Order: sequence, then C-alpha cells, then structure tokens
Amino acid sequence: MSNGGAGRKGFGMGFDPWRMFSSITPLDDDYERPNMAYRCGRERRWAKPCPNGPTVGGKCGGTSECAPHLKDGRYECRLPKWAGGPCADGPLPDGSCCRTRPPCVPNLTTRAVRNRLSIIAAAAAVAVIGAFLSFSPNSAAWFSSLDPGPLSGAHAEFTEDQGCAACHEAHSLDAGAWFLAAFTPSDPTAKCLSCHSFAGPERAAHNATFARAETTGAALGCTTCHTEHKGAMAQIAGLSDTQCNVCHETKFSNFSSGHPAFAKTFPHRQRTAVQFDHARHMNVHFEDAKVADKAPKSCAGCHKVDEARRRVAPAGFDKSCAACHGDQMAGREMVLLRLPEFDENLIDADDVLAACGPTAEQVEALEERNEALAAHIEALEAEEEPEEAEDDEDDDEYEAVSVDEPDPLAAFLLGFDADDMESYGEPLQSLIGEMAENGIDPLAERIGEATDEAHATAALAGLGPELVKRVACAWAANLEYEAPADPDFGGWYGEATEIRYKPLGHGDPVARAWIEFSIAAAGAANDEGDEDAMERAVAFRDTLLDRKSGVGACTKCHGVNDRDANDAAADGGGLDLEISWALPPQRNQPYGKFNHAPHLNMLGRDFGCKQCHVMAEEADYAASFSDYNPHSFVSNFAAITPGTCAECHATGQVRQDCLLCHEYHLEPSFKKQMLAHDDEP
Amino acid sequence: MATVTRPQRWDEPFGPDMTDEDVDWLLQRPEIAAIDSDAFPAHTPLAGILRNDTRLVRVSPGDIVVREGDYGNSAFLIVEGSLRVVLAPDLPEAVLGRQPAHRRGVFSALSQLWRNHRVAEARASRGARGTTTARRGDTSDAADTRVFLQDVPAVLDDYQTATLDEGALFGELAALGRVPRTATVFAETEGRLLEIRWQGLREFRRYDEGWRRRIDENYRRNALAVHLTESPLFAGLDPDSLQQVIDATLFETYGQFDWHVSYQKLRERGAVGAEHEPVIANVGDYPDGLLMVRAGFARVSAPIGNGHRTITYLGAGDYFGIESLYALWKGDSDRVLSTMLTALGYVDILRVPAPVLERYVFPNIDPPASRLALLDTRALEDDALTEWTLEQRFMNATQAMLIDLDKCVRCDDCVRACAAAHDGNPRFVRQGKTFDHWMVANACMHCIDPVCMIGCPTGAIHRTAQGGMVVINDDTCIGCGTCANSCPYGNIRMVEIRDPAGNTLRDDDHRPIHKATKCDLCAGQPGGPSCVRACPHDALRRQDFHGENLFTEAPR
Amino acid sequence: MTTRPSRVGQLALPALAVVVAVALGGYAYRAAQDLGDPHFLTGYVLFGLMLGLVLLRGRKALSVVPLGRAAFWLRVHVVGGFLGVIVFWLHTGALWPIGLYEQLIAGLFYFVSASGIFGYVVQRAYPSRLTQTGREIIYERIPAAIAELRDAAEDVILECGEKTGSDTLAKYYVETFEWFFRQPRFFASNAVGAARGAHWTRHHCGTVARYLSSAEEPYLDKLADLLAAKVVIDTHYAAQRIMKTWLWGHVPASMALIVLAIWHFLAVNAYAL
Repeated sequence: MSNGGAGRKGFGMGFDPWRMFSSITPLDDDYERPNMAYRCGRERRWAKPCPNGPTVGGKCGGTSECAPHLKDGRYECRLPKWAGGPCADGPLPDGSCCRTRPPCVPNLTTRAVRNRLSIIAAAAAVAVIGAFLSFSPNSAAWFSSLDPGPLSGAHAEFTEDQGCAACHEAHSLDAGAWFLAAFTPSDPTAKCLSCHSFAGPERAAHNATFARAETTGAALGCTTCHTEHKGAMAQIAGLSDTQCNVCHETKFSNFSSGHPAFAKTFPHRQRTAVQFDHARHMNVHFEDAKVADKAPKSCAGCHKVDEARRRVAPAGFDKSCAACHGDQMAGREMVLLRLPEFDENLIDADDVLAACGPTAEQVEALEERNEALAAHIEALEAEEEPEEAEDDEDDDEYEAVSVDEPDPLAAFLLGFDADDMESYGEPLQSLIGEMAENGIDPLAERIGEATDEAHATAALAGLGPELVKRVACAWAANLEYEAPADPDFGGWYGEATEIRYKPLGHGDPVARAWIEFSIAAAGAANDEGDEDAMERAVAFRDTLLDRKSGVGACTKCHGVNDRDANDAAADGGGLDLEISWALPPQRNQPYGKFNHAPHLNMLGRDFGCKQCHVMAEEADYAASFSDYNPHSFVSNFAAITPGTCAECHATGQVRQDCLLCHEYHLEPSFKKQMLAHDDEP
Repeated sequence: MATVTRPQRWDEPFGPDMTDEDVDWLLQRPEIAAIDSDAFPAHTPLAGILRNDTRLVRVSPGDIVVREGDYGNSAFLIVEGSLRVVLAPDLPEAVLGRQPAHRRGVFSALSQLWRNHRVAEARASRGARGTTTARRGDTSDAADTRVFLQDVPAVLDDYQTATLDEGALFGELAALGRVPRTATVFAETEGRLLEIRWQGLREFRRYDEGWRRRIDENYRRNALAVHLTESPLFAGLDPDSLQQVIDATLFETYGQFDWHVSYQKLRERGAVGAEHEPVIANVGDYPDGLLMVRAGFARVSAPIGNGHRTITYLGAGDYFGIESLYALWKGDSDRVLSTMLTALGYVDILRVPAPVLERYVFPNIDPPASRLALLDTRALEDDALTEWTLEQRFMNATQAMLIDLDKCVRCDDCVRACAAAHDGNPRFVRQGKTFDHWMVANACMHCIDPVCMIGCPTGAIHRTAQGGMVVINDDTCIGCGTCANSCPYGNIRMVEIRDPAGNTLRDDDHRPIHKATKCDLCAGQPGGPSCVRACPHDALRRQDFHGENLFTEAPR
Repeated sequence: MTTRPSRVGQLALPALAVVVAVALGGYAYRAAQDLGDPHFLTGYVLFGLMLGLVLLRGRKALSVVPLGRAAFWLRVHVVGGFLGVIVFWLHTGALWPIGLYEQLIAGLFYFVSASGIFGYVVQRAYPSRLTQTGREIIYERIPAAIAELRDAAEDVILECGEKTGSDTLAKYYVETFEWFFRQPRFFASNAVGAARGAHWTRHHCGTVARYLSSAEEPYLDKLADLLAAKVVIDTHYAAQRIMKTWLWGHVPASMALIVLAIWHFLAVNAYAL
C-alpha cells in the first residue's frame, strides 16, 4: 500500500532491494487479507497494485486516489498520510481527484479460482452423468452413466432389444421409482429364471432338497455365485473351488489334499449284473491253451473302449462270451408239462375221440373190427358161422403209461401237491383233455391267471397248437407221444411223456419268459396271500431257477436280485426278484461326472484300465452271488481311492478343480427358444 | 460518504457521574490541594484531570477493592473510611470471587462464518463508538461489579493485614508499572475512594513533585516486602530478620520507562548489543550487594572478542552476583564480578547490601554455582538463539507467534482463521524477523512489559483483569497511533474504518478515522487463538519467551 | 502452545490405518469363502472414507471453533488417503475396472490420489528451500516487489546513462535484463530446485562487465543487487505458486469424484442390491 506508484522517489541507487522482504512491516502497510477473493488487476501485469484494492463485488476500487473534500469553497486533497499525504497538485476544479488511473480488471486469488473450479468440476460431473444417462432399452451407447462393464458374450446379444431391463427391473421404472429402488432390495434371479431352468427347485442348493434337513441350505439367488458385467470374455458359469467349499462342511484346498474319501467300494455299488469272475477268467481260463485263439487279448477285447463314457460297457454276449460259451445254452432244456402216473383214467374216451380222432391203435382196432365185421358180414352173407369176436377184456384194466411225477409248473398252475396222486389225477387229466380239444389255450389261460397275459404269450411263444393237441391226444390215449423228428434246432417239442422246450441259444426269449414268469408268479401268489399257492409257486420258481438244470442255467451267469434287498420293511424271503438280463442302464448321477475316454486315451486303450482298476486276487467274488442280495458283494477289483486319481490330478499337474468332476446344477436347461425356424407355423 | 465526529481523549470520562461540585470538593482535599495546578498544561488542566480521569466510588464493609494477581489500570486515594491490605497468606481464589472471562458459545462462534462483514474494517457508524461493543475484548473493571468478603472478622483474624486510613494511596504500582496487583485490599468500614486511572496518575506524577515522591516511596515500601519473600533466599526468614533486610534494601532503576523509544533508535543504527545498554554492574566491579530484578529484564553477559556473549537474562525474581559475594564471605578477598549486568529496556533493581546477606542469608544456603562456568559446555551456536531473542527484545513476549519456516507452506490458513475470528479482518501479518528457520511474526506478543500502553490517552489499550492479555477497546480508541508507534515490534496496525457498504468513515473535516488493531488472542472466542488451530502443518505456535528461559530450552 | 506428538504417538494413526486395511482385507478374503459379496462393505467404507477426507475442507473453514487442530486433521487426511487407495483396490478387486463409468471413477480417483501425494511431497520439500534463500516474501506481494525492482533497475540504468554518458549498460539492459525484470522467470528450474536464474544473471553480468568503465561499475553492482533480489523472488514465486496451485487439480477433481461416487452408489443399489 505504500507509495501509490506515482513518482519514482526513492528508487535508484539508494533503493534497498530487500525492502519488500520480510522484516518489520512498515506501519503504513495494511494487513494482507487472503480471505478476500479479489486482488488488484495490475498484479496480473506484474505492476504495483493500487492502494485501494478492488471492491467486494470484484470491481476496481482505485480509479481515483483520493476523495477530495469541499471546504470553504475549495476542494482539498485528502490523500491519506500513508499514501504520502495531500498531493501537491490538489484536486481539479470540479472536485475530482487529479490522480486517476484506468480501472483494472480485478484478479481472483488462487483460492478463489480453486473454489470456482471445484464448483465447475462438480457441475461438470453432474452434467456428464446427466448427458450420458440413458434408460432406453437399447443401451448400447458407447458410454452411459449406468455402464457397469460389458456383458458376457452369451448374454450380450440377446439383451440388445430389451437392454438393461432384460435383467434389471429397476431400469424400466420412472425416475422416482428408480431412485426408491436404490433403497429397496432387488434380485435379478427372477429374470435369470425366465430363461434358465433346472430339474429341481431353482433356489435350493444343487437344485434339490436333501434328506438331511440341515444340508438344505438357505435359498440362494443366481447372483450369489454368478456375476455378470465382467467383460465379453468372462466365463461366468465357472465357479471356484472356494465357492464350493463355502457350503460343504469338509473343506479342503484342492483335490489332492483333503478331498473326502470315496465310498468304500467305489466305483462299485452292487454286484455285477452278470456273474463274471474277472480274476478266474483272466488268470485261469484265458491262460488255457485250448481257448488261446478265442480268449481276449486285453480289456478292450470285451469292453467297448470306442464307446467309453462314464462306463466302458462290455460288448454283449455275442461278441464277448459266445466264442467260449455260445453252445452252452443248447443243453438246458425246460420241461413244460410232464405226464405223470395216474392211478385211474378219468379222461372220457369219447371226448378224446372227438378231439383227437382215433389213435393208431384204435384205427387198427377199428380196421380189425371192420375186417372182422366185414368177415362177419361175409360169413353172414355166406351163411356161414361167424367167428366169435375176441373180447378185449383186458381193455378194462388201466395202466398209466408214465411213471413220473408231475412237474412243478403243473402243480402250481393246477394247485395240487406233486406227491399226492389222488390230488393231481383229476385236474391234470382234465387239463390234458382240454389241451386235446383246445390246444394251448387252457395252458395259456392258466398261466395268464397266475400272472398276466403278457407272460403267457411270451412263455408259450412258438408252441404250436397242433403239437399241444397231438401230445395231449397221445397222453389222453395213455400213449407216449412220438415226435415226428428230432428237435435239432431247438424250440418246443414233445417227447414221450413230456413237452419240452429246447432253447435256441443265448438270449432265448422263451427261456427268459419262463424265468420271468416263475418270478412273477411267486410274487403274485405272495400278494394273494395263499400260503399253499405260494409254496407251490416258490417250489416251481426254485426248480426253474436251479442253475444246474434246465433254463435255470441262465442264472448261472445272470444275477437274480431281490428288489427289496435294502428295504428292511419288506418281508424277507426274497419274493420280489428280478433278473439282471442286461447291463443296467446308466444310473442317473447328476452331480458327478466321469468320462473314461480321455483317461483311456492317456493311459492306453488296452491295458490302461489296470492303472486304476486293480485286480483283487483274493477276493471271493463268487460269494457275491450266493444270495439274492445284490448289495452284499465282493468285487473283483480293489476299490478306487482319491489317491489313485491324485496321481495325476494334483497340484502342478492335471486340472483338479471341483467342476472337473462335479456339477452344481441339476440338469440345467433352457425355457426359451433362441431361433425361429422356417418350418414352424 | 459517511462523516462522523472524530473521537477525543475525554469523550468517555472515567466517571460519568463526576460533577463540578465533586471536583471542587476534591480540590479542597489536602492531597489534591497541595498540587500546584499551574504546573499543568492547558490541554490537560488539573480540574480536567479530576473531572475526567478520576471518579469517586463508595465502598461498603467487606468490598474487595483490588485483588492480588489482577491487572489494574487505576490507583486509589482513600478519601473517607479505612481499608485493610492483606499481607500474608494470600486469600484463596474462591474468596476473591474470580469470574471467568466471557467467551461466546460454539454456535455463536460458528455464526461468524456467515455474519462477518465482507468489507474490510467495517464498523457500524455513529461516531464509531459504543454500539456493538459487547464482543470486543474486555473493558476495564466496571465499578458496579464488586466482589466482597463474606466474613471480614474471620479474615482479620486469620490473615495478617495492615490498615490503610484516610489519605492513603494504593494501587499505583500496578497502574503505573503494568504489573499485577501485589496485594488484596478490602474495605473494613464504609468509605469513599478516589479512583484515579493511570492516565491521570501519570499526569500527577509528571507535573507534581510531591506526588512523584509519594508514589515512588509507596512503591518502594509496599512492594518490597512481598517481592523479597517471594525469593527463595529470603523466604525462610523470620519477620524480624526480614524487616532488617527490608530496611537495608536499596531501590534502583535503570533504563527508560519508555525504553522503546531509545531502542528503536538504537536498532536503526544496528547498535543492539550489551555494550550499548545501560550498565548496572560491570565486569571487574567490586560486588557490594546482591542485585535482584524486581521488574523488567537485565542481561548477564561476559566479554568475548569484540562483543559480549550473553550468558542469560534475568527477569523478576532473579538475582545477580551471589557467587562473588559468597566467595568474598568465604575469604576470597580478591574476588570481583566476572560478568556484566545490563538493562534490557527498563529494570527495577533491589540491592541487598552484603552485610545483611552475610548475617541472615549465607549461613543457611549452599555455595551457589558460578554462571560463567555454564559457558564451558556451550558452543556459540547454542546461544545464538538467545542472543538474537535479546537483541530483538523478544524476551518480553508471553505469546510470540513463532512460525517454523521449514514446515510452513505459506498457505495463509492462519491469517484466514484470524480474519474469521475478527469480522473478516486479520490481526497480524505473516512476516517478521527470522532466525535460522524460525520467524517471529508481526502478531502482538502480549508482552510482560507492554510499552504500547504507555502513551494511550484514553486507556483503550489495556490489560484484561484476568490472563493479562493486552487488548484494544475498539470503541474508545481515538486512532492517535501512539501505541502503534510505540510497539518496538511493529505488531499494532492502524486501519481506516468503513461503514458496512465499504465507504471510509470520515470526520467532519473529511479525514478518515483510524483505529488501532492487533492480535487479542481471540478473546471472546471459544477455544483460544484460532491461528494455532488452523495451521495444517503444525508450524505455528504461541511461544512464551518470558516464562521459558531460552538458555536451557530452545524451541525445537 | 501446541504440543507435537511423540515419535510413538505419530505412529498411532498409521498403525490404525494398517489395522483397518488388514481387517478389511481379511473380511474381503473371508467373504469370498462365505459366498458373501465384500463389495458392499468395502464400497461403503470407501465412500465413508472419501466423505471423511472431504471433511478436511470444511474443517479448514472452521478454525474459529475448537474442533481439533488442523494439523491433526491433515494427518488423518493423509493417512486416510493412503488407506483409501488400499480400500479402493480391495473394492474394485483390480487395478483398473471394467466398464467405462467405473473407469472414469477410477481415473479420477487415481488422479486425486496422485495429486494428493504430489502435493504432500511438495509441501514437505519446498518450505526448507524457501527458508534457505534467507528471505521471506508473501506471495501476494510478489507483483509489487517485482514492480519495485523493475522501477529501481530502470532508474539505475537511467542514472547511469545520465551520469556517465555511456549507453552500454542501457542497451544491454534492454536486450537482457528487461526481460528478466518483467515477470517471474525460470519457473521450471526453480520448481525442481536448480539455480538457473542465478546462473543466468551471473553470466549476463559477467558478459557486459568487460565493456564498462570504472564509473559505470557501481551501477552494474547495484543492478546485480537488484538481480539477486529478483532471483530470490523467482524462487519464492515458483515454490509458493506450486504449493498453492496443485490444489487446483486435487480439490476440484475430488468434488467431481464425490459426485460420481454418489451416482455409482445409487446405480449399484438400484440394480444390484
């Protein structure tokens, strides 16, 4: 504020250049006022500011140096002492100061500029947000104030039409509701589920409710694990092992360290469908020189490694077993019906004659009689004395042609004791009589009554009514049946006192049907509650299933399983049986997956199996089939432990993340159709 | 353009109720009658002084007239009645009824943010006085608020007192010496006192011989006992011995009362070393008595090279020469003073003669250490700060604004905070003398010896009763500029005042009206000085140079 | 009198920040293990922290009321700023987020943090440099000081011309020193603490000295004094200007950042919570 800049008094050689630097402020200097926003504009040009300074409003305040005072008719200069005192020239006659200067444009201080910049910056931020705010469906603008990052490739395309509202409900609300939505919970899960569906409750863990209540966790939303807006390349379906570890009690850092042990007999849950002792075959049978050309050279010889998936199925009897076992079926014949010993003949000869026609004997007898009659007539005509016919008195004495016992099937179907000749005589002979008249039907009927028609049809397939009639006629005539030819190729045939069936080969449907029937019959009898019937049915069944005779030999290989084996409430006695004819269908294991193919590729298609499936030489495999319970079993192979897998699936080696083997969702599928097809209406 | 009347010295008389009759009556009093009124100049006649610079006050029994420790600006002449002065021990604070200073509440302080004027130095017009004054600093003691003792007889019994009767003069020490009241005085009976504010007392002392002698004698007699007993050397003496010491003590004064005048001249010439100061005792002098500093500052130095090296400085209560006197007493007969004692400004010295010391004091004390020996362990650099402080006379300061320049980022937040606390007007400038990386800014240091107060015609600049801050009453300031010119440190600024619209307030002759302004330690604001709180880098502090002896404790 | 915290006391605030950072980091790590979403807590903590940092601005205006010393608030601000960077990384999970809007926020955040660190470093480094010039001048007085030096220099030159009759110095002045006295110079050099200005003046004084008579030499000496004063002014100007104008970046950017963060909070809550 000192020396208003007019006049250069004091500069020059006597001037102290350090005058302006800090020392004691000259008394005529005003305070520095950094709280004021404006400073004299001359400072911008590096000139001395005027002593007056700007006004509070930011205008120049120093256009004139003093305010002259009218006193006694004259204007006097009122320049203050600190400005040098009254000037020599004095005010102009009109009262204005003689020392004027053009107005300056006051400067803002750095702090005032800063405050303005702050307001501008905040306003600019608001403007940017507002300018790029877009609620339209197609929010594909290059920049939006609501842009949280690009969607993953899968979601990005189809949401183009709907935009953000495809998943976020809040996006389609009006401004006020949108603002309130910021303070109310929302969950995109409902929108996810408009396209994605699962086979179970969507929000439950693993989309299932488990038996143990405590394992059913809290309801989860999709976004708990899957987060979007991580870029087009993001893999949003993938989860980390950590996430899996969240819910599972047993926590472990990776597969090779800490994964819980597999089941004790993993991967075998029950005994094999077919009794095939790998150990005996591979160690003994295949080594036998006699079958050297037939024995498979490796696991791939029987197992279909080309179709390896969760399991590597064996190729079926024809490919795998027939070479050695193919002709072992033929000798296993079954007796359908046996003509037992009767103590009396209850069949009406006339009925038989009507149904069957005369027997050869009868024809012969008739011819003899005819001859005799003719001779008699001749004699009569010749009026000679006829010869006395011979009476066949010994026709009256009945002697059964068979000495066998009835077969258990007949005992079961007709409901008699096989031992009691008196009890089975009548029903059986009447059956024979019916068979003579009607062929298969009586038998089929009775079989159908025991279980159902399907069984009857299947069991008697291929049994021609003529055969039945001929056999029945023969038996009805108390004769043994004489077969016209030998049954070389299998099928139904009658022989002497039996109707037999000779299986055609492996997989013979009739043999199979009879086994099925015997099981079903026992079950049906059990349901009805008739103890006697049940006894007989069981006897029939056990006879049929006897491995050593007849078609029961099927069960030498095919396992007979009690369906109720694990059901404690079911009555024992093994009456709900089933035969495992074929490889059971792949069990539904939605949460675990295993594919043999890449493993066999890596480990070798022929013998790679041995890497994990290690033969248990001492295992008593056969004991598995000693009863009807398929779940108590001993496997040929040692159980597989996590350690085996961990030989490769370990840190630093092959992948070992949870998702490699486990699934989380239950059968994920899609509700919506992504493409429109031309042919659709 | 507003015009107002320019304020004058006696615009605000000390006692508005003084009438001419009172003046005439007073002139009959023997003490006043003895004054030769012709000795007084025309612009301050005796009658005028009596009329405007004095007032008559009534007291009732128990009324406390002055309290020990308060700062006061007036002396009292007992016209009627009798009073008691408490000698020992001191009355407790509760009895004395000390009031806390009035400070504004937090919300009121906050409201300054939007209520402060935007115009610099705005005042409400109307003569620039007496309108919105409540919040500006603290005025001198109001006559109508008196504390009184509940139980006078008990006090008389329990405390040692002396009687003051009609015609006695008391309180002049505090008024003239700018020091706290040395004792509590209360009324024993009904009475009337003539309260003379120190501006008037100054005139009496200047123009009347009798009063001058009386004041000086009073000064000597009443204050001496108190100060002696405050020193550890004499505190343990029994009353008789003490009286012996008192009777023997001599009273001396060195330097000018208004030392700032000569100091400013010396500083211009750069002559600020010990060699230019009034010598109290010189090196080589024979010590004949203990020199005790009663008021002011004295420098102890020893010659070194071409100058003198300061060893320490002494304030009230410190003493000089004891080691030499003790050695003499012990038998070292060649002992002389090895250090020099000079006056830093204005010093009151008590000289206690050696025989008294030898009889009453030396037998009871340990041999005192030599000050000179202290120099052995200190390098020149260690004392540079002290030397500079004394050169600048900063030892006077109780609240020097010390800025650490290595931390200060020159952001001016301190100045802004000061402005926010003073209606938008800063009260200091962030520049000043520097030493190494310290700056003592041009902010009032609230000196122990405020020479700025000496010339004030109206008493606008005064010490507050409590705390001892030096403040300016903006309403009574007439803008003469005496204080600003007196301050040796340039910490008082004169400002042109304006109305809220921004126009300079001018008097009838169209000259702008000025007011003196300075730091008031944010009196009236909650929480004390704003500048300290505002510095974001811990660079600013208010340093008490007086209390802390920089010799042993320098700011880090 | 202010009291400075002891060495140990000074560590309290950074230690607290470390504890908070570790706790928050631990929480974020644990949240991943619980299928929780740590972004909400870290986001709110970050937002609260930013608001707390902005409070320093308010505190600076409120020195009249006892709210604690501004130096303490600044320490909290600096420590809080560093903590904020850590919490920011915890919140975004990456150094640079995906999404243009978040990238805008991140860019602003980094700018504010970097400018803050820059300002902190500058405010620690410059003051002692200024002290060591041995002179003090208030920033707002620099234009007046330069004007005075300029006038004085011109007077010296004129007087030299008048008294000695030679215009060597005057001509040289017009070619060189007039430019120097016009306004503060060598800003960049002074900003980094180099002494180009002193070097320049010395060099140019030396250049003309050989052509001056002994009568002219005192004028050159006087001019050198003035030049030395101007060099000091330039040093002060550069340092003080930087110490004032770095805030032109830091404060407005932080205001914009707060606005963007508020919008981010709204959008996230509207769409994802």
